Amino acid sequence: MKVLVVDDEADIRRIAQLALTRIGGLEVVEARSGAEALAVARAVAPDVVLLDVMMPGMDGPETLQALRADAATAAIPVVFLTAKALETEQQRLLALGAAGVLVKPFDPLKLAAELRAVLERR
Amino acid sequence: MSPDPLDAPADFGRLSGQLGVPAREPQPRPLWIPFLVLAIGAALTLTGVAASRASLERARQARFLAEAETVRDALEERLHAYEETLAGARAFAVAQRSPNAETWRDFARSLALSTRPGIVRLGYAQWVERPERPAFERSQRRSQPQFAIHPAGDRERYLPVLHFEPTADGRESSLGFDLASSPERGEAIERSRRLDRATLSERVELLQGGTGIVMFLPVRPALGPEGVVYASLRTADLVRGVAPGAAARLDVELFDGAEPAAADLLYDGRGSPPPAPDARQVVLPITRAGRTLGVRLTARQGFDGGAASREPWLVLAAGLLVSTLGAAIAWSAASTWARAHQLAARFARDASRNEERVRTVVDNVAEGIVTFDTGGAIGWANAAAERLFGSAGTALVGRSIEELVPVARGDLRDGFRNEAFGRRADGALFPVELSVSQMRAEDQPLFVAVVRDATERREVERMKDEFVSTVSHELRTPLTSIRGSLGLLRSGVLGDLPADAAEAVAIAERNSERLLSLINDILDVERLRAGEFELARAPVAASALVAAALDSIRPVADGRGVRIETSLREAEVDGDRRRLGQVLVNLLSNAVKFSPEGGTVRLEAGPEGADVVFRVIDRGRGVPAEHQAAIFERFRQVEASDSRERGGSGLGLAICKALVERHGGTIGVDSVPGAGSTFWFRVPRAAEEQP
Repeated sequence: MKVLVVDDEADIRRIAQLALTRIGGLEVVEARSGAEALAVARAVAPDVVLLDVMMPGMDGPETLQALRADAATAAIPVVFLTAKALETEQQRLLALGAAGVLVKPFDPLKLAAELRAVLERR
Repeated sequence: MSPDPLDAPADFGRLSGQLGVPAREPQPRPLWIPFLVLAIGAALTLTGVAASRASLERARQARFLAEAETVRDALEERLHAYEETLAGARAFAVAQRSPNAETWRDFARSLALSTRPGIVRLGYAQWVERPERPAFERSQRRSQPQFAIHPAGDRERYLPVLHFEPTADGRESSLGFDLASSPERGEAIERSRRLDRATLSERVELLQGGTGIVMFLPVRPALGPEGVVYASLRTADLVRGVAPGAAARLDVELFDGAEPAAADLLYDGRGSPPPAPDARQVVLPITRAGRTLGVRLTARQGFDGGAASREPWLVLAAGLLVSTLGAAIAWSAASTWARAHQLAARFARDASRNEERVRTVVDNVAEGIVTFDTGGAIGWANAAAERLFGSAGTALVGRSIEELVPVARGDLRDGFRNEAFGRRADGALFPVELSVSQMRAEDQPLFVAVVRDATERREVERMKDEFVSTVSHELRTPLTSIRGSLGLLRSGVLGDLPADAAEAVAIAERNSERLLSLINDILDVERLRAGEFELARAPVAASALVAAALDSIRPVADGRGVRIETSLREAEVDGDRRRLGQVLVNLLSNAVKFSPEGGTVRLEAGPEGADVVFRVIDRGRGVPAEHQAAIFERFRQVEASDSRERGGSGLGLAICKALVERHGGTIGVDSVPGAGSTFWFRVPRAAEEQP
């Protein structure tokens, strides 16, 4: 399973990449911004996008809409990864059409399992 | 506003009623009143003095007239008495047929003429016709050799004096004097003969000297010659000695005729010193013996006396004294009045100043204050309210409260206290905090609304929320990297660590967990406080909550060697599984932390009435009574060091309390210091469960 990790923080991308590959055994591609994510998603057609919410430039929700707007990427499930712990915020993100919401800080040992669980619930 | 419904409205009514009314100027001290009193008193006094003088004058005049009449009456009486004397003499002469010198002398002497002042002669004369004259003279000369009718002259009739008394003064010229020869006498004699009564002559110069009058009475015997008896009266003697008391104070003048004229002066009794030019004077008539005499009486100096004349002065003095006294009293009263007025003015000024202060305060408070009646019409508004709602030139008074705060009228009643929106004159809405209290003013319900502009507070709150949100986000992002790195290290996927390194990584990971928990707690508290989260309520079995909580807490309890025993009676609660679990874990976590190592924590759960009650019982040090309420507040731990030594943000119990209360439940602690604590909470049972 190929996961596109989108985050403006390199550290977060690295931890997520390690957690998903070393522990979850998944394949990971990265993008540093929403715009880059669109290009990468088109190019590699990931099975799921793990999308940061707060990013400079195009933020998470905008990126989600852009992905949905593009036929090539419209069907790719998106899971938000957010530091905002408010439940109202999570409800809002789900309402935008996200497959699920995972919160930061995440447990690297459980991240892959949680991601799988989200996708299975769909 | 004041909770007292009786006091406050009156105060408010006074405030609103008098605002803007300038204090009355103090009246000038009425100094004219005592002067008026004095003036009236003086006028009355002068009137009194005048009246007194007039009265005195009347009294004096009356006295003068009385005395004058006394003199006149005495004179008249005296003349009357002499008429009687003359009548007696006539009777004598008639009885004598023709008295001779001797009998006349005896008669006259018997009368004691000296006791009849003024009569200088009492005489008898006999009519003689001209033809008889020579014979008559001859016959007379037989007894009185020197007798001759005189004055000389040839007249138709003669009336020669035959007898007269007294004769002692040696003036014998009277003998033979023809009384009818003198025109003054003749007229009276003729009148007396005609009227057959006493008559008085005009003023005559007496033969005996001096001025006088003569009184005649005809003698007409049935047998014998006709004649007259007469009395020559010297007026000086006639008047002298009359009414001696009165005459001493009066100058007496006697005139022939009712009108005084110098030519007719019979007697001048004016003495020395002469009377004042304005002396009292009166002319009184005496009509006697067919003649009218005038008596002019003039008050001598000193007639009015001394003592009596002091009366007007006494009246004046007493009047002025009383007036002055009255004026003094009036002055005192006016002063008192003026003082009272000053005092009143000062009170009014103070009241006005107080009111000004109140007005200043009321106008300068940040809160808008408006009053409105039961119909919602605004009766009064302070400056802040005008500022809040108004724009230039608009007035709030008379408008409806609902225009200002679009809240249902029914809600705007006593005790209303809530956030709402205010509407400015331009229609813009702004957040306000609004409280309404009801009072009574002049027996009408009156509402007072206090409005605080909440715009700024809302903004601050928004900024704080954003800040908390941002800070927690900013904290969580690096924490994600740290925790992730540590987790990867511990997992061994990045290679095995030496024992010491693994321990250090474990410490770092444990503390990052703690830091995360702290951040989450802060976020929870803020969210709870803001009422931002929804409970996902559903029937939950108590046993499920207990099992989940035990799963969570067991690693910690095991780590401290604390045993957890449970006592469970099954029941279903109506609640949010995750949140109630969070409460239970929090309480257990505290119990474990504060239990001695190897100790026991007991967890009880079961239905009690309409609730399900959970109890977490430890044998720790307990909570002092004074802290038992405070520990449920934010950031409170019994000891400041607890946070460091035992971990925890100090927010746990505050979160528990907020969560339980959101469920409609209660939370508390029973504790005996040194013997342990029982933390408990009760939440409602699920509906179908309730008995």
